[in-house]
Amino acid sequence: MAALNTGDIAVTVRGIITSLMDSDKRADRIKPSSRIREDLGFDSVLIIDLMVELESRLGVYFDPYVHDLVEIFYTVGSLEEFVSSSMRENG
Amino acid sequence: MNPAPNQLIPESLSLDDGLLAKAAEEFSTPLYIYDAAMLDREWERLRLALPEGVKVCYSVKANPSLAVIDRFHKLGAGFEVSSPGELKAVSAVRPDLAGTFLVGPGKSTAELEQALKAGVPLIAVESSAELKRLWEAASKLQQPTKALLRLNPGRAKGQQQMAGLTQFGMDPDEALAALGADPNGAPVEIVGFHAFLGTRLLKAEDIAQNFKAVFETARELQSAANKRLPVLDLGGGFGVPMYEGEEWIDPVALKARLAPLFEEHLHHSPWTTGLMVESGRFLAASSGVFLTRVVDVKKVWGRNYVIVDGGLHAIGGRDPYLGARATPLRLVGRDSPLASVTLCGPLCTPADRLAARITMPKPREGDLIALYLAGAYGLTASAGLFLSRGFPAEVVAENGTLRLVRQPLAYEALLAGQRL
Repeated sequence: MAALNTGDIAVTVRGIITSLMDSDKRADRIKPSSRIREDLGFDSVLIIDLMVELESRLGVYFDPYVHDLVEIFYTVGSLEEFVSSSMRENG
Repeated sequence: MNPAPNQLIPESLSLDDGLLAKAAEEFSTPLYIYDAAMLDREWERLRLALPEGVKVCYSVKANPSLAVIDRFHKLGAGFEVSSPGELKAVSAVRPDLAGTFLVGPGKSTAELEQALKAGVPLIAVESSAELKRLWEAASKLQQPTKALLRLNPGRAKGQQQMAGLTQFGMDPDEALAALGADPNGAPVEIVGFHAFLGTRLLKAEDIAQNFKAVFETARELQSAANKRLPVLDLGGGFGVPMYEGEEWIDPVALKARLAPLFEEHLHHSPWTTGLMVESGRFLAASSGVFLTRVVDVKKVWGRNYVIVDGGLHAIGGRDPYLGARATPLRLVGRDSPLASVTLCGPLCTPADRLAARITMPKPREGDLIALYLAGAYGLTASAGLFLSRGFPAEVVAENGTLRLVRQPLAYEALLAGQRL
């Protein structure tokens, strides 16, 4: 997988988030501080869909036995940070 | 197009559509069916991956049905139990509990005493405090037992930031201290170590890395404590592929990867006469089919939904992705034009989803749908009490015949034991 910089990761992550939301919230209104559940209205099922979509599109891997998924999926920023560091580790 | 990864359905599964339809008719749905010959087959496949002389223990938690325990008992398996209930189940099949060991991080004094009274020959101890509780219990009952120290080497597969940070076992420092501690006459003999580092491992390399970490830690501890301990349980985590892109472990390739590790360890520590591994999922998953009937078909906001009678309460424990990733499943007994559908169970929660936007022959009301790889973490891992639904029945298929091995737990029975 071609290396993505932080900016590309943010665009991709926010694009996937928007595609899963059925309201008209545009990607550029989503901020790093936006809380995925409370502010963007994701429930557990939608978060799993988000996780699967990220794994499939970006090749990152979320392991419920190793990663604190609640912490990772707390805000858009915490999610982007996890994705960036995963991609850095895995090259 | 998002088809189910049906290439993962084991080829030699003998549960054909005719038999599935007959089972649904006779026992009603939702229903679990286990192919007995498949249990035998997976046992042989696991044995192929391991050197001679390595004992295999069946992890009862994957499927604690007596019929399944009995099948593995007849094949020569030991048993790994992690609760009083599992201990009781194995006792029903093998009253002398030979080859059984008890593990788990929350063994109270009462549970330890119960295990000792039952005659459990081996207990994997998870903490220094638990070891002290075991000494006290064994002394009080004057019941001797052997113990393993469960290790947490902190080098689990994946090397992610939280690797090894789990609640299980003892870190090497604590294990070393436990080896040197004085039992004060308690009839407990520490005979070795136990570890369990990963789950759903599908790559031989990952399994090998885990075993290597356990071998190394065991050698280091024995050297530091100047002891020679004969038993080493390497754990398991042999995975079953359930999603697109995953593949079955090749037992021959796995053996090639593991054999040098075993040889090296036995060369260095030839007193290790009790090598063991564990497996639950790999042994039990592929024999199981979950059968469910379509209750309703609808279109909501342009999306097709197929509602079946067995959902989260009956099989939800098996899939952490809540259907976001398709698992192997089929429409039974007929064909129809492909459509994109979301399969849901009957519960009032969006989490009750078996398959999201999957491409399959479009089902209609009354159709049967079969979900595969359902023999492990199926019925007993699911929330049968949720929405007061109850649990499905279990049936074993052998030589074309069907026999009921667990009655369904009907919702009426859920009222038992309650009062106003």
